[in-house]
Amino acid sequence: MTETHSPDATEQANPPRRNFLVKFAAVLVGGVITAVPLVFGGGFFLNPLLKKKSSDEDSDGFTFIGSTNSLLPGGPPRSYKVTGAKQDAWTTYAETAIGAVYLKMDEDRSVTAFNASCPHLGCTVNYKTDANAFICPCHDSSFNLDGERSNEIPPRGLDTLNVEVRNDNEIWVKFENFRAGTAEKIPV
Amino acid sequence: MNRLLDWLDHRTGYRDLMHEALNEPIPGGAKWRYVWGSTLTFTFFIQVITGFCLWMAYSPGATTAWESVYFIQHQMVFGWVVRGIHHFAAQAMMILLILHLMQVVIDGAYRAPREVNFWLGLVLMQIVMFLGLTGYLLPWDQKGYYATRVATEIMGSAPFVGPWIQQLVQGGPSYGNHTLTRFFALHAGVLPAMLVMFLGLHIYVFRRHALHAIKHEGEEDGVFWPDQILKDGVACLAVLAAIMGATLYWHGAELTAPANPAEAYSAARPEWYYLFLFKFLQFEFVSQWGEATHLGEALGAIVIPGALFAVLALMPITAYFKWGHKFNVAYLWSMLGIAGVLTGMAYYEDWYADTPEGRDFRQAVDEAHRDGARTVALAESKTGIPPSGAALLLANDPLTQGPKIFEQYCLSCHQPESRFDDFAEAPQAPGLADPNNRDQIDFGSRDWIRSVLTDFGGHFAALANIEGDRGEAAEAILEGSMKDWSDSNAETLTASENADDYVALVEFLYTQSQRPDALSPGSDVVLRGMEIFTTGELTNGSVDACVDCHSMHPLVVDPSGLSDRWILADEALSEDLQPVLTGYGGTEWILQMVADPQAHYAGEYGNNAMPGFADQMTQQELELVSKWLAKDFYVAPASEEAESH
Ligand code: FES
Repeated sequence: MTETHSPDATEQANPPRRNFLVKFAAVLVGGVITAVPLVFGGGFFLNPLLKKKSSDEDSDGFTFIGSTNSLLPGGPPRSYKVTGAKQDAWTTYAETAIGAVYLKMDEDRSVTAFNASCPHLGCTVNYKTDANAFICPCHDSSFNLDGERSNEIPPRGLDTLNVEVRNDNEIWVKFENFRAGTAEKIPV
Repeated sequence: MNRLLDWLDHRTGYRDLMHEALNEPIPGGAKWRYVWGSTLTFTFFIQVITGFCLWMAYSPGATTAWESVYFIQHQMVFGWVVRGIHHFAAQAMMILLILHLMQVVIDGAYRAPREVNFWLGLVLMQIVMFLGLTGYLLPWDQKGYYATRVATEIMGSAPFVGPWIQQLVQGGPSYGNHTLTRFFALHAGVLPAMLVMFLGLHIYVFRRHALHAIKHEGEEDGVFWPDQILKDGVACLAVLAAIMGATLYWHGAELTAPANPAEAYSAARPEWYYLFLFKFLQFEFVSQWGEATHLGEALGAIVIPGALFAVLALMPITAYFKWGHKFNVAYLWSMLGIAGVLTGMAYYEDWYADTPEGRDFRQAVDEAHRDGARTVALAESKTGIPPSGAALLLANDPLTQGPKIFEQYCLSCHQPESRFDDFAEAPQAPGLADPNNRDQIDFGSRDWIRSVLTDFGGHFAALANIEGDRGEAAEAILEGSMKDWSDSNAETLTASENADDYVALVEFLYTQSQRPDALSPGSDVVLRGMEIFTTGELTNGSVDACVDCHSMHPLVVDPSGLSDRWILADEALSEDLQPVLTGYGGTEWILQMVADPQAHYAGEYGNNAMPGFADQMTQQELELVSKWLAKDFYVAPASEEAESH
């Protein structure tokens, strides 16, 4: 499809060199005036990537979860809500739900904590008594009681969290979230 | 590349379209006077870009709107720039609209066959004005809140349907969450969609009739691309430069204190392009006519402007008559002139006139700025913005509320020197603080303590003005044992050999208030002061020991060393003596004193001349005013404050 337009009026009227300069200047000016709002708007849009999250230096990151008395040695794991301070854009929550953990106590009374969110794609896993395993309701990832995956659906086992028992019976957990969908455990 | 473009052209015919768009002939050549339409379109493009960005960060809601705008303004990357551009581009759009209208009318470009396009343009102008009106409310700050309420009250004043319209616009009988969701939907959805639609029609019709060219003798014809486009581009660049300049100069758009219906704001003004109407409504004759015609406010706010606008809309018809065009031009100039004069008058009265109203206005603006900055400082503090919203930060801030409570309950007796003229009656007690200069607290300061110690009679002289029941008590104070102490010990205390001891005693007493600039109770000076307080022994001579009349549990550094907080010592320096000086000048001490002076601070023989406020003030008011007087409020670190401005 070739169709040539007749040369337009300006090109006949103006020497081509001047015409080129005018065109060049027009494109340049047009570029600048478009770029300015786009650059500032772009930076604004990219805020989540450009602005580093400020971490709270004062606290050691551990949160009180519950008492050891609520767990049986060798018994089934139990689910706990994690509440803590949270900065959500402009709102500062002194105390709000930030996640869930499973706690389980071994025969030797040592406590293990798992982040309850599924390493597959982030649903919250359930502990199923009949299967005595963690099963994710979303895509059937399953994990044994040690948190190891027992099928190939999730890329890794449940994420363990650091636990400390303080003042004899207080369970404190360092609550963290990890990236879903990767074999590696990468904090987010 | 060319083959790809050929392919594309075959499917879309874009070349014809581009040719059509770019090679529009311009009789008489490109001209600067044709740029206004393009600059307006460009400014709208800026508004769309920045508007979409702001949309991604804005949350319409009575407890989230101000908060999200605060976050945009103070925390986000380029937040204040984007918001500033959006704000100033809106102003630029109004100016450009007026210029565009002037150019069209003066050139007579509204005449046949372009009447419809003229009307489309007027519709666009209305849409832009409504965009400004709806946008002004969205930050939900005092300024936008009160300005917009005036506008919706005017809607409510319209004959017959007014109240319904007002409720529809507000989303209910009063302002709240639904006002914001509705204004936001209008501002970001309905109005821009209408603007795009009408702008499309406007440009389509404009192209259909071609440019209304002004061709002078001997001018060569030109083509839209590239000559006119370059001129348009340069004009847009100038507009952009002005917008950026304003944004940088004023550091973006301002954000005053969060909207608070309980907090009057006497500087409520609409945006500048509605100011002429505001001023017009202030004239008494407008109200009188309104009453005479039974139209009320609606006459001045809706009927008259509507009629004037109708004359504008009829211009293309008027132009058919002889002298019609001349009339139109004269009409436009006189309307602009009148609006300009009214705007100027309103502006002058607010910002320069030395009238009570003008001073009130400027003070209200200052306060709104101050409260806005204070809210930001509190939001940036460790506490942050609670889920219940930032308005609470200010409502619970002793520095903000204390002076207001003080003004209401305390000022008429405790008049500061600067306010003596405001009261018919003489002060009945020493001045404690000046609500207009709220960082300066005289009560309990080091000066105050010195004056009580060495010039008791002079310090409390105002008590002599008390008459009636409490007069007796006042007299007892002025002739009481503390007066004697002061008279007989002042000389020793102020002797030059005892200068350090005097400082130590004052510091010891001052420390009890736990004010931010108080010395630690463990410091040598304070310990020395305590010694003097208990023994009265000075370097040179001695005074009567304070403990003989006053009981006190002094402050000490937490002996367990677990915290660096100061606590009250278990053991009292002396007990069962009135008045008690434990925590003297601190929050708790002041609170007890204000609530019930008789119980808290009356000696065994005397009584207190001050009335109790426990049943006049709420507990919260008591706490706020006490915290303010004790300087017990958040102070932003100086460096950060400087940085953020
Ligand atoms: S998210 Fe748990 S299985 Fe997919």
